Amino acid sequence: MNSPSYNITAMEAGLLSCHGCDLLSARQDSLQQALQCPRCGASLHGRKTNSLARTWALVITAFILYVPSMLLPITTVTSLGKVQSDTIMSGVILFIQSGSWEIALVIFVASIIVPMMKLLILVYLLISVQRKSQWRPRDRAKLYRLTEFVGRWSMVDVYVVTILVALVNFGVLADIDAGPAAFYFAAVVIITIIAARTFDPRLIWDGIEDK
Amino acid sequence: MSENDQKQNSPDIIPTALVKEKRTLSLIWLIPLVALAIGVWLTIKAINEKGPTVTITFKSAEGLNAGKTKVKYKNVDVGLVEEIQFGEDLSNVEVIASLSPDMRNYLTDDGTEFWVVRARLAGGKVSGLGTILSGAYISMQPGSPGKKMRHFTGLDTPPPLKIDIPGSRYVLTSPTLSSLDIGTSIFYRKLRVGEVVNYELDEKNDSIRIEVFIQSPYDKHVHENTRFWNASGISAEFGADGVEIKTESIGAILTGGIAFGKPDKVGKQPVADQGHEFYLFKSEKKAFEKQYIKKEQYLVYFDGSVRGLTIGSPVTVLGMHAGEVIDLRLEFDLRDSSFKIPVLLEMETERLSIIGQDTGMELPTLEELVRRGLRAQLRSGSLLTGQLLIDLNMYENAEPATVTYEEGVAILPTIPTSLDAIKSSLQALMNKIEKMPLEEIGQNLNGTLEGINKLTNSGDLHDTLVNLNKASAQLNKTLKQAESVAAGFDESSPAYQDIRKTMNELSAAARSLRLMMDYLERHPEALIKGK
Repeated sequence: MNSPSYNITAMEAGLLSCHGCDLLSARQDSLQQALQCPRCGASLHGRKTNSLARTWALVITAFILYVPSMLLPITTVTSLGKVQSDTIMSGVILFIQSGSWEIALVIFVASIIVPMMKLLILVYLLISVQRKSQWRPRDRAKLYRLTEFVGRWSMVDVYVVTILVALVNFGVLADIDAGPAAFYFAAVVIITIIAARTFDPRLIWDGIEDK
Repeated sequence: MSENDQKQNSPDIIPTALVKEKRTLSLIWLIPLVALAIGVWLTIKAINEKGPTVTITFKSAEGLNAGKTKVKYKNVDVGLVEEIQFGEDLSNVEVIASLSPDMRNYLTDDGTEFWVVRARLAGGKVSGLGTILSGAYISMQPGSPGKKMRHFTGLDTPPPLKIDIPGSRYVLTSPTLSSLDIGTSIFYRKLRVGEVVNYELDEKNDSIRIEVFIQSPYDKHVHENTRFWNASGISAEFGADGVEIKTESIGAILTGGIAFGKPDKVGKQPVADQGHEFYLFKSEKKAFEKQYIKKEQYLVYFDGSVRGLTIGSPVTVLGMHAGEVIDLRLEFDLRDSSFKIPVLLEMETERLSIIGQDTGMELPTLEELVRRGLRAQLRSGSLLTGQLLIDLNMYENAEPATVTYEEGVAILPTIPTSLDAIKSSLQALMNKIEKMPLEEIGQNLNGTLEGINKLTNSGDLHDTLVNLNKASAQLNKTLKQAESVAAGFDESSPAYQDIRKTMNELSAAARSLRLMMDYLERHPEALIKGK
């Protein structure tokens, strides 16, 4: 066993903690009825409701939206009558060609690698929980925390686009418009954050205890 | 709880109901469904918007960038250059461009054209200035419905004109193209109304055929008698009224131009049809010169120098322009070992108005005219430039001559050039001057001058001057005495008046004497040479 020093979980003890008032109450094993906190009336859950299905749904949504966010142009730059649309990837290539590979690296990591990694991690966690995997639960918990922490940083790209659109607005001389990919990209980031939230990391340990 | 008890009491009779796990699908699955729907919609849209891809062959890809250069029609983006690659054997480049689906039906073998738009100056107008900032782009001209094509050859220059502009096309013939080019402007009353569309060498007539396009509604000003002329550059005329400089526009100075107009006098003629052929005159003046169709050729022989006579030199009758020299060459006659210069003249006989026909008299024949003294003579047209002209005139005292014919062309007799006569008399004058004893004259003059020198430098002259001075002083004294005497007279007496007069005269004499003295002092040689 990976966790020999732990004694008992709230679930095993048949107890529920209220999210609203932290009151510990005994659990009634009734599948049909919703449970309620005897003190404040908040509904009680032993685990996040329907966690796996929700996370799966959101992860799949994020995967679907990831495709247009990469293929469609994220910015449309009008400079002296010259119109140029760039996708995230073509922007990265542009920065590499113009010599600023540091910026290219930042954009590449923040906008392409991080969202993809998050989604892949979530998929792995979901599968491992469903298969009641015993393999290194501590590391998997760490992975989950990393995903949750890193999630919001992908919004940097969306912020950069919004700031550019607001700042660079000189009519014919120079104008930047957000492309359709900006919407899809923001959607991917937000949905991934929600998906990470709906995943219940306690499920990782439940699988181990069941064995 | 009685029911429960019943169940517990009879476990064998009534089975326990199975707890069926709820398998309702969570609403959360709507989210991926919506996302999927968006994805499908985007895909369908992309497929629908994916227009045809064409390959355009250009000689060079100057200014074109893969992924950046736009394809435009009527200045609207209709496509993007995707890829630029070399054609076979590297002789050209192939530009692969994806076009908008709107163009799908217009990429045919009938009139679809592609060309690169760059900033250029042609035909008196600057075009494509926008491309200086935005870079070159490919412009396209959609074709008419026809066989669909996906591979095109790009034009080097913009196609002459868009088909959608109403107007008419005409053909101009010209011996040379001069400074004209495709796009050269055509002016009507200095208004730009069209342009040169095309030109080609007409092998048959060895001339240039220039196709021009006149926009509607100006094409209705092109009548059958309309004259077209080359309005390139500046034409300056030096006449009795001073210098007159003519040009159609600044643009025409730079790039050339064609203008047209119709002769003022001739009555209205029908509007010219499409494709009507016109002659392109060299200048406005030439275009409106009266045209003489009937021309007669004559030959004259000169044996003196014809330096200054060229093809095109005028032939005049009594000073009136009547034709021009169309050919001249040098011949050596073996029979009498002499040089001869046959000059072919072309006479515009229509310039001559015949009057008095009602008398029933007939025109005299050439033989008759020559018998009466018609002769050709070389004359100086301009002393400044040395240009010669041929003048036909009646010389009643001329030596008798007859008209002969050479290959059907009448040979007119000539009389010696007036210039030759002047030359020979000048020669005689020069000879006389040469014979004069210039040296002797010079020596005599020298001797005379020496004598003068001696005279002026001798003491005699000085003495004379001193004496004259003395005489003058004496005279002054006398005058003063006379004045005092005169003071004694009564002003009204005649004696006083006489004396007064005498005094004035004396005074004048003294003044002129003094003046003379002064002059002589400064110019002693005046004694000999006079003033």
